[in-house]
Amino acid sequence: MAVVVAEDLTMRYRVPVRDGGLAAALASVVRRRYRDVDAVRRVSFEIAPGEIVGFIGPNGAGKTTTLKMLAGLLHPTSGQLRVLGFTPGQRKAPFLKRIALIRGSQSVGGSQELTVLDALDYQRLLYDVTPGDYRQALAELTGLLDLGPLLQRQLRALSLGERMRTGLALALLYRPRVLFLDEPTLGLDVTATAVIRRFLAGHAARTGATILLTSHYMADVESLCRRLILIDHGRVRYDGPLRELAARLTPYKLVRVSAAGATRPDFAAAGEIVEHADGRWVLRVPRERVARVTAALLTSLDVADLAVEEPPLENVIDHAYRDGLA
Amino acid sequence: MRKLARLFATGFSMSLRRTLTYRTNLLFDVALAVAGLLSSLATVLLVFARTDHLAGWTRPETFVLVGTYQLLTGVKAAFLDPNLAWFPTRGIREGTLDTYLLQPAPSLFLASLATAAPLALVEAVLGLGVVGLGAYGHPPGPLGIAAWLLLVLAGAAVTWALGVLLACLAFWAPRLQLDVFYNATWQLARYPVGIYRRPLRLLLTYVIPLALIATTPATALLREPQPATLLTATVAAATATALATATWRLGLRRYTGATS
Amino acid sequence: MRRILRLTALRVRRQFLDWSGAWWFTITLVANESLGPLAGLFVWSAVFPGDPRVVSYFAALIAVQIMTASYENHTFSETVYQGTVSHELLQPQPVVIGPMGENLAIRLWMTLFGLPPAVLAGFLLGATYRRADLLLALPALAGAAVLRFLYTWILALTAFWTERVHAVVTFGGMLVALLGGAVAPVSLLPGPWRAVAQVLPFHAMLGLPADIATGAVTGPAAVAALGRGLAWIVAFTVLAAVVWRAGARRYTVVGA
Repeated sequence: MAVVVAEDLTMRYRVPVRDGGLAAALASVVRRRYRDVDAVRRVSFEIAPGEIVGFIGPNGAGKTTTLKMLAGLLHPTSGQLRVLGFTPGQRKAPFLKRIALIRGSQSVGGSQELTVLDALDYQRLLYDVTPGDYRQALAELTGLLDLGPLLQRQLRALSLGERMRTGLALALLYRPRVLFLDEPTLGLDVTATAVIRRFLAGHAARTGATILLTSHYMADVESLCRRLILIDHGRVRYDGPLRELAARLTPYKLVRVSAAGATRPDFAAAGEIVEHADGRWVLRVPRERVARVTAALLTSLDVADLAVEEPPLENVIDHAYRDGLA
Repeated sequence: MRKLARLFATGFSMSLRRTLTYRTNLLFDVALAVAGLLSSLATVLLVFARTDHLAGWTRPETFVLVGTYQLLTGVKAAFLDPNLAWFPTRGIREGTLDTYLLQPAPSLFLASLATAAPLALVEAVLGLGVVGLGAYGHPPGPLGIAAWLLLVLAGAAVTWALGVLLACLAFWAPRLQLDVFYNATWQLARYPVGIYRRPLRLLLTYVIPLALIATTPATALLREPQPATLLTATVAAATATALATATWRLGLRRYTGATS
Repeated sequence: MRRILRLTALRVRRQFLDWSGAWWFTITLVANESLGPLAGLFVWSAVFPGDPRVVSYFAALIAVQIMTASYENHTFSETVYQGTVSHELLQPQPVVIGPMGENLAIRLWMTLFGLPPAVLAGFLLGATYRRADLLLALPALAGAAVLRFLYTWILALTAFWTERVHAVVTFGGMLVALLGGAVAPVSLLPGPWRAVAQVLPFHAMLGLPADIATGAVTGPAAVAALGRGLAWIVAFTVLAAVVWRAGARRYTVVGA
């Protein structure tokens, strides 16, 4: 049974518009003009239990709007949406107790002078967590997220990484079946990001929870998500495995060769030279020719080292954002 | 219902813990509450240095009125202002409302009563003391006290409803911040409504029932409680509460884009 | 000195334009300042029914309140709390120019929106004034405007030491209301308090212009009061400089 079923989701806003100048400003007092903005256009997808799905897309593409619709914060203008069998927009208590939305920009809400333990206690009451479950969940989360030193500290005194970990603990305390993460690693340093990623991967494996995350960091998406949904201008442009997207968008791979004594003409037949420094060369080679090219290079040159790489995902996505998908 | 009561108690306990974190601020807030009360009392004393009656109220009677006003001001400052004040900014722009919408409890309850400023209750307690001081000479009977209590509760309900209605404005006109205006108008309830000219008096009794804050309860405590007044006040409180709840729901639908 | 004036004028103009978008908020501020004295008008009209001086006094008081409103705890203290005052500290001009300019801009807008209705209300309620009194009240009004700003500015500077600057300013406002003639005209205060109030700066900040406008304080008494007000302006200016220096030093040593 699918966890999320979205069919032809559309979100349309009416925004007031006004020309520049004083005359138009005065006119707008009497008669307001509006324009319809389609933030999300006929988006459809299904998500199965236990999947970790990445939502990516340029700023303003409609990712956060879609996420808000899934969490019940927004009613879609049209279309069908069922999450865990509920209609999110009705915001029924049983639904709310099974989902969690964590925003990287604001991972911990509420009064900032409370301690972490106070906040967890309040969350327990709010979500009707039984004392036994609470103790167990607290012990687990404290261990996994290293919350020990944080429990007695005030929320306002936490660093960004600590806030994110606390936010995760607050959300997972009541064991939601679906997690919506909006830019979870925003602004975090390398270590903190690694911790969060490791935790999320482990959590999904341990509990079978379904995770939807949006991120601008390709590394998040690469390490966590097997499936990617690319949203641009409110529409789904791609929905499928990550590897295929790379393959579709960039029909080439990168071949790095270290060969002392090699010169430019040696690579002419191989492919396009992207970089060259100190006997190290980087070539862009069409995918279907990679095997042949590497074999040729290995026999014809004195190769010290050779590696074949996928083009960096950043470039792939950047390509998709700028030029769109074919 | 029980869950709401527990949430309210926990929210209050959390707010108390939060307040006790800073001890100097504690001192400031208590000092301010005391100063506010003294200022109100000074006003009364100044007026009654020159006259015996203020729109038909004697000095001890005016004390009862001022005390009732302080009681409700304290309750409002403790339970309502921390949540509903500056709602367009704090609630909507800063995303607090979204957080409440995601939680499995009624959003109106969370948005209006989730946190508290417990120290403002000092004002309320002091106000109660002043009421006692004023009523000392002619202790009222149990019927009077019951009527006063009922009217104070009705006043609290109306205050809550007005606060919610004001906050709901943010759903339709997000740039409008009327908190300053509301608090200024609230000041008018500090005196017996009889001092105002007729049009203003009618406005404050029937349209924006601020008279219910102090004048009406004090009247009930000091003179014969009129059943008609009690009934009207209860009906007014119930109507205001229903109106506020309905407007909130309507505003929320607009906020979440629900058109159907 | 000329440079300071020019910078201030520039700041005023910029803030004036900034605030043009918040005209409705200005109206709520006007209401905030007017409703206190309005209640006072009704209270004292009930105590002295039919006395025209009461109405004239409080109507004038409303006008004074609108034209001398000061919100430095909002315009300045918040920048200390948020840490953004650092921007101002790095600029090659005295920091006080910012709040001063904003204060003048806000007062300009409030006067624009608030004075006409106040004058109308006064007229409808039956306030009357003599032209000579009104003219004499003008320097008193100017003095009150300066003094009120300095007073609120000094109180707002306590933000360098305490988190409760709004409580401090509210308390300061209470003093002005009680001893400056908002709760009751100073002449109605009991004996010893009246003497104290005449010496303190609060009367010059609020009630004095209204008292002069209604003719309650005339001739040599008015001149003496204006002189006292001037002395307070000097005292407050010195105090403001001292407190600012201490506060800025504390801020740069202790940090945000």
